[in-house]
Amino acid sequence: MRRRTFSKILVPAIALALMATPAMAAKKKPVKIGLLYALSGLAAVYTKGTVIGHQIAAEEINAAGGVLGGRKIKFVTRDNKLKPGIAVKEFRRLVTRDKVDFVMGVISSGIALAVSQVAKEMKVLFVDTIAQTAALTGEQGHNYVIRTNTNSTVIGRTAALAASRQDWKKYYFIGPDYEWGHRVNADFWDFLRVKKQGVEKLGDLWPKLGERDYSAHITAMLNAKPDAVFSSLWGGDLIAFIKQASAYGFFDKIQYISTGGGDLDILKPLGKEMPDGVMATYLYAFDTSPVKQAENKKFIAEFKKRAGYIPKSGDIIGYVSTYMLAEAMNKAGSADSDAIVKAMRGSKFATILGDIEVRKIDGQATFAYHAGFTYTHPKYPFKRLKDVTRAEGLEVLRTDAEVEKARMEYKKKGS
Amino acid sequence: MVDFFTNVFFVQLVNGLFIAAGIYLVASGLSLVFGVLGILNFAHGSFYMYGAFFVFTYVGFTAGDFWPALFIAPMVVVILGVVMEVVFLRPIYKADPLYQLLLTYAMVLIFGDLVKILYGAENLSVARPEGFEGTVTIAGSLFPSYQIFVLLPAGFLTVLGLYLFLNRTNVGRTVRAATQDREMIGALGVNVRLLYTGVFAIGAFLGGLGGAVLAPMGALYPGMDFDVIIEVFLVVVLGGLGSMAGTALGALIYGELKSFGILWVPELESVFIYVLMAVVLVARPQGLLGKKVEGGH
Repeated sequence: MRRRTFSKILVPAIALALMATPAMAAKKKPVKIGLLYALSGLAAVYTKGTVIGHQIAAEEINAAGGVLGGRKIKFVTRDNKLKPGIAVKEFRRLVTRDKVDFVMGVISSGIALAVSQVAKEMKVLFVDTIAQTAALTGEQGHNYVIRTNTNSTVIGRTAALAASRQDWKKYYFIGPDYEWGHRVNADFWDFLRVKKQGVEKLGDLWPKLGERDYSAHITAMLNAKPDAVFSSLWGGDLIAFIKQASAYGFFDKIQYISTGGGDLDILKPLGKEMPDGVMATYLYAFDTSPVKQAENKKFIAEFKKRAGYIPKSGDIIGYVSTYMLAEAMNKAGSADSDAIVKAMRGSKFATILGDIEVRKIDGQATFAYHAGFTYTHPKYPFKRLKDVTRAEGLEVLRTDAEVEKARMEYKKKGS
Repeated sequence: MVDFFTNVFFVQLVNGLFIAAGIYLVASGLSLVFGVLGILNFAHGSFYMYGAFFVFTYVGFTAGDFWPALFIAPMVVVILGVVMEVVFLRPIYKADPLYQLLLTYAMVLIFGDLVKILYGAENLSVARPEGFEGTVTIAGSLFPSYQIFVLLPAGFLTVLGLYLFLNRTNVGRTVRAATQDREMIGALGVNVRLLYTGVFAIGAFLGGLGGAVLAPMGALYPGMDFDVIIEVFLVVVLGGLGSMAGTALGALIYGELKSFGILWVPELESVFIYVLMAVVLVARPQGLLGKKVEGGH
């Protein structure tokens, strides 16, 4: 009997409560952000840390009261299996079924370009965090794409800027034989010729991705006797090249310039096998590059606790870009794509990695990029970098005029 | 001109030998297994990968002791190979070759995921053994001492060892007989099951040895199995599937073509070998030294 009266009171009370909450709930509804990464397969090694970076930032923001006056950030994470087709499908599902406000991701330039087209069509913001093809925000750019990372142009040009300050004249080139390699090598060479007179190109080598034996490449370059070799090899290819080349005494004779060689995914496995004095580029070095040291230390400690290793470039980008988007939402007063885009483009952000802006013309962030020389550190079992050239984004990104020109040419080619 | 010959020609020639020795070490096992068992083992690349990763483990455990790993790592791979043969391949020898291909491909995926679970997906590196980090001077040119003193002898000894085994021992003669007529040797009282397992074990050992010897020269990563298997198929098909001499010849041609291709037309370095393979397949479908396949469909 008693129970029944209890429920008689309780049920209407709950019903009333439910009817009363929608107005309140709308205010406290979380902001849903889709995270679209390749979480299985080989790329997972890069993206898992990025996702942890996102999560640490979101937890800090939520603990401090969330965004937009008390709304929490909530991630919906999807695996694109490193396939453009799946990425496109997952993007649509994130928007239509999961009702995310916007999407952040992805690794691989091909996937970024594919997803970006869907973002344009659905008018939903796509924030590219890892993929770095300049075409994404350049030639194929549109209103609904923003990149919170450097791009391929910055990488080649920063190396060129640093190289132009040395007296190296004769260059040889090596790069993986697909769009990335050809593009970065061209970016380096075009910019170097602008910055320095009298440089000479002796030749190009294009080993296939996953090349096992570089003996012939190495001796071909040694024979040509260049002052410097510019290389856009990366990952396992770069490691294999460095190991084999040092067995030929390559690094005693030729200055090697390596894009991405300053990041931990190269320096750590190579350890002492990485020669001293290699010019190597990177976005983030845990010990030297960040502008805000205290925040950086806090992030490193938290990240190490969760991931078990020192954060790499892609890891801190997850963290930094989540903060950038939170700031943009607060500024826009909304989680709506159009409002965020408007609030973000042309705005400045103070990040751990330095003061940057998201450019109006292409939505490209102006993070600084670095080129240093490897040396043996007394404390770490892997090489660190010194005599670093820090190039601010605006120094090395394509200018507005260059972007417009590239877009015109791209349109002409397409029609 | 003299300078050209000593410095350029000689150096690229020796480099071609390095490439050939490396790929022969891996390819010989695949070719042997195909010759006897009639199975094109996709998972042979996995044996190569495990050989390399086991070296990494051994060197890590012993804090830098490299040499025993050259034997121990391939032996552990042999265990994997024997298990694979007994459990998965035995029931399927009589099946359509397509199913065999599918099965070995499935094994590639299983082995690949297993490596990720065991070692993670990051690049790993095995340092060259002490005393073999530097260069040696031969005829005025510099060469990596590891390639000269370890890789080349390993390749050469494998060629020699396989030749002596197949031609000068009774077991070897039986193995060669099996490549000619499998039913007949069964009828003659040879334990074919055991023979198959044995040959598969040798194949696995050679794959593992290839991975072990090459480990200090490159990066170790899941996916290195796929990267090597294409090269291996190329070499084996070029030389003639199942022919050991053909595999050695295919490896030599592959290595030298690649080495000199880079020198002359660097933009087309990998095109030459595919063009050659296409020509060979049209003119001599069985490969350079392969036997003609009788009958057919």
